[in-house]
Amino acid sequence: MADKIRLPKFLVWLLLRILPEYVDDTALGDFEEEYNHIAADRGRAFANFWLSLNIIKSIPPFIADAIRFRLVMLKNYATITWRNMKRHKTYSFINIAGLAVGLACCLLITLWVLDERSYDRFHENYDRLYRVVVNQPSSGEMRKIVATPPPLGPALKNDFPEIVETTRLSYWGSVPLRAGDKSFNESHMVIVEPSFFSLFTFPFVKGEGAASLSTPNSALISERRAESLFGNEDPIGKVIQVDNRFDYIITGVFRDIPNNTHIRQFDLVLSWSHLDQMEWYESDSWGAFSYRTYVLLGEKASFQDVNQKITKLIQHYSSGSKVEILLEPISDIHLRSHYRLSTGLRGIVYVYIFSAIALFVLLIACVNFMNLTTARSFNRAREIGMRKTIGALRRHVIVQFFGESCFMTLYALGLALALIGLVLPEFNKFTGKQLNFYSICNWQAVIGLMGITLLTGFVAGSYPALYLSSFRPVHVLRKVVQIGKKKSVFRRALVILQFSMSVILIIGTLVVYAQLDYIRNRRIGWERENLISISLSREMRKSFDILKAELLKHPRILGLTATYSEPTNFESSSWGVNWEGKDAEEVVHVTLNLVDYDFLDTLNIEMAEGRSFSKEFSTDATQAFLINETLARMMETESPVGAKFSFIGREGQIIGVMKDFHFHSLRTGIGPLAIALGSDDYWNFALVRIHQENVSSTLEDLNILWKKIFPYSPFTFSFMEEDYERQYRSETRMGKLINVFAGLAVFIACLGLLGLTSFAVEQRRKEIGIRKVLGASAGNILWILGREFVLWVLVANVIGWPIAYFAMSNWLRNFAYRIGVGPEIFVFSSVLTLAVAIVAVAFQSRRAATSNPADSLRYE
Amino acid sequence: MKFLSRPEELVLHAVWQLKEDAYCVPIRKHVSKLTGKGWSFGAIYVPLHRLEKKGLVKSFLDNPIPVRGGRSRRIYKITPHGLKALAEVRELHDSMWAGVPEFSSE
Repeated sequence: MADKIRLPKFLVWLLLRILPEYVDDTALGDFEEEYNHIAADRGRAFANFWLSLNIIKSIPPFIADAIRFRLVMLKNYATITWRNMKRHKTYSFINIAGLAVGLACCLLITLWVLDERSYDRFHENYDRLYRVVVNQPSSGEMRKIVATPPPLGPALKNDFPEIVETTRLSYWGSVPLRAGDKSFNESHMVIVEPSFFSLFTFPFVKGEGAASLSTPNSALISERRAESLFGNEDPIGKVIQVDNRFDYIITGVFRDIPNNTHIRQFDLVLSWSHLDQMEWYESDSWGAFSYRTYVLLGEKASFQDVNQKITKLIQHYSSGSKVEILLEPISDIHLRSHYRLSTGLRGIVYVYIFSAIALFVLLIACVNFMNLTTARSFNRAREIGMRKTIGALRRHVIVQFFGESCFMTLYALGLALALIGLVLPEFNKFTGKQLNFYSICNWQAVIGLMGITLLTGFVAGSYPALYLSSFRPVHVLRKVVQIGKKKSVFRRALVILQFSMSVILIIGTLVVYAQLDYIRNRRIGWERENLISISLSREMRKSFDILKAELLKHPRILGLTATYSEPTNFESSSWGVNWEGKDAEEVVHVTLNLVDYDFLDTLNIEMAEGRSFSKEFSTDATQAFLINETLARMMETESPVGAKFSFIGREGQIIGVMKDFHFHSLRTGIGPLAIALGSDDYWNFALVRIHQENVSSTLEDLNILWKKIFPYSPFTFSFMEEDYERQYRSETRMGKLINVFAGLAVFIACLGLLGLTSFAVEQRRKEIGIRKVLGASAGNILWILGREFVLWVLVANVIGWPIAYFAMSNWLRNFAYRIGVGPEIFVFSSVLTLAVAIVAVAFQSRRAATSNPADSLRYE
Repeated sequence: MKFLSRPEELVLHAVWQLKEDAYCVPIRKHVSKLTGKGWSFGAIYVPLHRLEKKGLVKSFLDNPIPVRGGRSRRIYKITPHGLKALAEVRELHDSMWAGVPEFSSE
């Protein structure tokens, strides 16, 4: 064997990497021996090839073996965890229930957040889609609106090569719709250009799709509308009548609009040419800000560049205008937009709040776990001492405890999933979403779920693992150290942390609740109770006088008036206002509403000065204005009554000043307002004040009367009070959700406290026994056991207060009308947490305090 | 009776057959010949390790020799337990096939 060859160095290195620990040095020998045989027989090159191949082929058996081996270990951990759980049922229940509730909260919130973030991301070109938004200067501030004038879309496409396509959208309120013998008010109608369906991804299920919109008199409907109108019949080619005068042929059916888009649900689509049939539509008016415009940028176009170029476009086409336009990415609209009809909190704020809550709740649950496990370390110290004596290394113990906490978390995860399945329908009702349990049944979600679980297990197990593994067996077994007593500083800190978070959540909840309550019960300046609103179509407007005369005959109908917009939201506004002594340079944006004579009486709006509209003055119909106090203050005259006033091309004088009332959501303040009498052309709504008794029979009578006057139009109405509440629906929803989650967080924290107290009681049984023998009363014992916890909770309160104060003041700044964060909220939260803590402690200590000392001392 | 996996069974058989000369190189050769396909060393180490943990074989180090780069051989030897297990395997096979007529091509 003179020509002995050594193995190539690289392959040796590789072999050493892959060989498992139980294969010793002799394995290299095996390889080298065989290598030499082969090299002698078939040459070195082949031997090298053989060796490489053999190394590669050796890897799978090693891996398979390693996995099998680990599985055996895991099984062992699972068994031990299970036995431990069974031995200490209360403790395990507290631990797992806490973790499960924490995980369930966290997962639910994650589902919610994911859904919130998915808005408008399903459009194929969503990263190139933008909405045109408008900055309108008005009395010193910028009004941010999304409505644009009709010629803007075509102009954008013509003037800027970066803009590939534009589309315009017009939302319509309720429109009478007739199909065959069915008639009702369609409140989900939009008018769009054909390009709409190429910009946005709303798929078609039947018919020609968007292309047919360019032919006149064609309409598209949604799947659910097709179903409600025509049942199982094929809707294509069917004729519908819109607004009692236009006939349309249905040429396509699109899939129902999903929830996660900023575009409001629509079920009926007419083509843009429908607008041309409207008398009032001016396709080239740069001043009619009523339509949405969307643009699709080219692949290479930069959003910032385009944004800069288009800013002054409207000013360019319409001289004298100071309006600026901007693009806003479509995926930002739902959560981040500042351009909204309602000026409440942006969605992203809620996403942050809820993410924080999810984290808090999970952290509190983790802290529970750490606390209870370390507190119980006393019971397991001997096990660890034993393990170490037989030869376990520290890292084995660490792995064991991590494993244990991961298993507990896994059990908890199972429970959490069951919980979610149980509460998801309720949660959906609560949030108005359509979250689906099965949406988390894909591999990303499973990985994410496992990630969260393992992370939770890791965080929860970290302290116990590191702490318990540090025991010196000789100390533990000889009982030199009282384990679990000395190192309680960390535990104390954890409890304080936990309760601080609970305090923050409680204060947050109280503030949110108080603010919402404040808004709901605030005097808004008009009476919204027992007031119903009926939307009027063109035909009904014409017969309004008959309607009014007929309805007022009814004894329980107290008043009836008509208005251009509903008092919950006066829509139209303009800066074309002038009055005697007005500074010509000053731009004032005034809201306007056109009403019937008895508007103020029906709504119970009080006058501050002057008189209301009256039929006795023939000039009132065309020349009289009423203004609100805010506008009166802006005019800076001694008495505005009698002053000359001109608005929207109407010259006249002010006949009275109304007391300020809210005509927008309370999130914004009261702006300047003028109202004037209108003719029936302008009356979109009839407002009816009914008697508070027998409301349902009044409504029935109304329906009968209605059918007599308008046999072809259904009677549809809404209660103003409900409309009012609806404005705050998102806040109310969020408020409720925050309540629930905060309540859960406090619940979990209390579970932890309960566990800790029971542990403390168990540990001090003998001490209590001796104290009782020496004459301590039950009260004394309670105090001795409880004082420490009470102190912790107090400290937690002090820590939580400033954080909560800071966070909540910030939140309240979003409201124009808001409550102050007063001391009573802090006092209440302290009392609440203290009470809960005391009850938990007392509950556990009671047994110890009333037990017979002989029981606990007889073994000594 | 605890069952052996098929690789374990083959390797145990090889160790028993090879008697004094049972270390990885001939074991691999033996098993490869028996099954008619090439086995990697890795596929031998794993069952060998298992058998040793179960106490069916034991091992000791031989003198180092130059063809192995001066490394020792790890010689495996079947234990009485191993012999018993092998006998049980044989018995199992025999009883499994007892009374079953020969496979015919048809």
